Amino acid sequence: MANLFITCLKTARDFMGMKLLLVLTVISWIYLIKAEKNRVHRILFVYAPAVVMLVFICPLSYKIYELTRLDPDTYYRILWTIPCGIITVYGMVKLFGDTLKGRIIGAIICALLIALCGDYVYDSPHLYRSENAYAIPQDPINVVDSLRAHDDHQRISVLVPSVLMLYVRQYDANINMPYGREVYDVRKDYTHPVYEVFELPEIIDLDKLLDVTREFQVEYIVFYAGQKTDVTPEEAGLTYIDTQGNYTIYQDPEIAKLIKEWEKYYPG
Amino acid sequence: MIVLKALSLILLLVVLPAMAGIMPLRFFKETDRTFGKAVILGYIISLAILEFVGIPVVLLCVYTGYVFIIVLFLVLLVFVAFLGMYISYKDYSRAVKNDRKFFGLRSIISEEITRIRQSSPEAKIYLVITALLILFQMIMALRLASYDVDDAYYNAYARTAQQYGTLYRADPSTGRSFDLDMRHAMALFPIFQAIVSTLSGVHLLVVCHKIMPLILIPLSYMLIFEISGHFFRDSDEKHWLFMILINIFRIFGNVSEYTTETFFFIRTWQGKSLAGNFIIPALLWLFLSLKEDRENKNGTIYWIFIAILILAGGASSSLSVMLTSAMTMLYGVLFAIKEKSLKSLIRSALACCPGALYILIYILN
Repeated sequence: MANLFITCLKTARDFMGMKLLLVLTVISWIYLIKAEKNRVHRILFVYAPAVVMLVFICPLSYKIYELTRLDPDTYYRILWTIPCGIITVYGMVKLFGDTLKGRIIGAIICALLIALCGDYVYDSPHLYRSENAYAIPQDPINVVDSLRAHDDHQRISVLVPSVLMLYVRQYDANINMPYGREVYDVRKDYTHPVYEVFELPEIIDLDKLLDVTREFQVEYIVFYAGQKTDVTPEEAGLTYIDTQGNYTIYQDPEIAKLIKEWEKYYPG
Repeated sequence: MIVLKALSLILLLVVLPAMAGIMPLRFFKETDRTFGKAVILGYIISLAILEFVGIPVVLLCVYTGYVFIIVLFLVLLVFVAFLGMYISYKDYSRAVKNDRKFFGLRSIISEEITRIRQSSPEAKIYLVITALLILFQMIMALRLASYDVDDAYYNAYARTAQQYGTLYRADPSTGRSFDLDMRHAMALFPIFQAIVSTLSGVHLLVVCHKIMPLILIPLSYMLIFEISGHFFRDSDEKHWLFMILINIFRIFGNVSEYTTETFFFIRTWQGKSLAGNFIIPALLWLFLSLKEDRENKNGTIYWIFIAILILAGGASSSLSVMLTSAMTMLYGVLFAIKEKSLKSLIRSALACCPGALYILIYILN
């Protein structure tokens, strides 16, 4: 139980980050305990958040959360039920006087405090300049468009390097892949035979790769410029299709032939 | 073609939800009828309809679920929207006859414009600053992109629904068929985006990454505006200052990757962000309205809407249903203690019924 309690506290700390913004929330909340006279507001913005916080740090809640088949990594979302922004700003604005001067000075000070204690979202390393209207990198779009220009089958099976993997099926779900983002989930011990041969070795053994890709009926293989192979793809029997930036697309003629044979039985 | 696509997006994401929201608005007192409320209620209704028709379709239709869900969702949404307009029209006829104010979208908007015109110059300045801050966030949403790993799940599920016709029965990573993915299957917000994309002819990724933020950012602020309206009823100036500061709080709220503020900007289009920035605050707003509307003492309409909201929350995530149900019960207990009456507690428990049913289906499958 003590361990679970520490886990709850750590989750709360991670939620607050290393900034002081949510300390402002606590200060505002303390101010509201004293200043808020409206009973409805007291219940929703003073008492309820306190109960939620108590429930959150209670180890038993964590245990129940786990038992309800919810991912323990999302336990922090219980804190979403505390309206931190509303509590912080409500407390602040309540403090302002009724004069124009009081309001302006109060607003400027509070805005500065929030900016100093918080973290500007547009500095986030998760945000990039949008390369196109789809808001995904341009490379997967180019690769998929090139594949589509070459192959008019409704569904095609393609092996792509990890950097493209996340975007291909968002753009065109008619492209099947042997594996997906699960292989990168460090929490799960998941791996895939194609991934092991294609992504892990420094130099790809193309014979081994083709053995497994044929097992999964992968028709196209996209190589990244930095990927080294023991022999050239052409020497291994692959057919060159196109190059898009740093990516080169090859077709496996054996699988292409197999698909042609299937077409006799499953036209289209 | 672009004009047609833009018009269909406006119709699907603004006009229809606003029309759907006009019907319940008549139960609010006259001074509380705002365009913002119509859109907020409209979205709650739309998402609840999506869940209401969508869950049976997901569970029962193996191959053609997507077509069924589009047809059923659209028919029901259009029905509710036109019912709202019909009621509004009837009210208009009666109003003309009796020479009194009529109730409808146009009159609500014109009343709001009058209200703004009548406010002090100081409040007008704060309003402009608020509008500029929201506009700034919308422009940034258009200019920036975030490559979130979860998109490979949700967007691929939505795209698979569009291209395969099946709902949550194909692995989003590989495209291969698999058993129904119950963990995600009842959270239908990605399918809502797929429907919007299919009906408008705009690619799903454009809808998710560029169009949805243009709707969800202002929608979330409309909700905050309605909530803060309860704090500063007698001071327009403080009300608008609250809006300015809440904008700043959100823009600087990226203190960790877990806050609702971070989700609001980095994953605006995902159901999780919808849960944290719309569904949960909407519950607060409904409780505020319920307890502070002195004309509507029983508050039946609010309790009904709390129940609808809990179901609508299911579109964003299964966790949202659990959190909103738990919060409804918590508020029910706290108000029962304050009022020294079990009424609030019993009504809270009743409002949680759709949520309980949702959780039951989730657990049993």
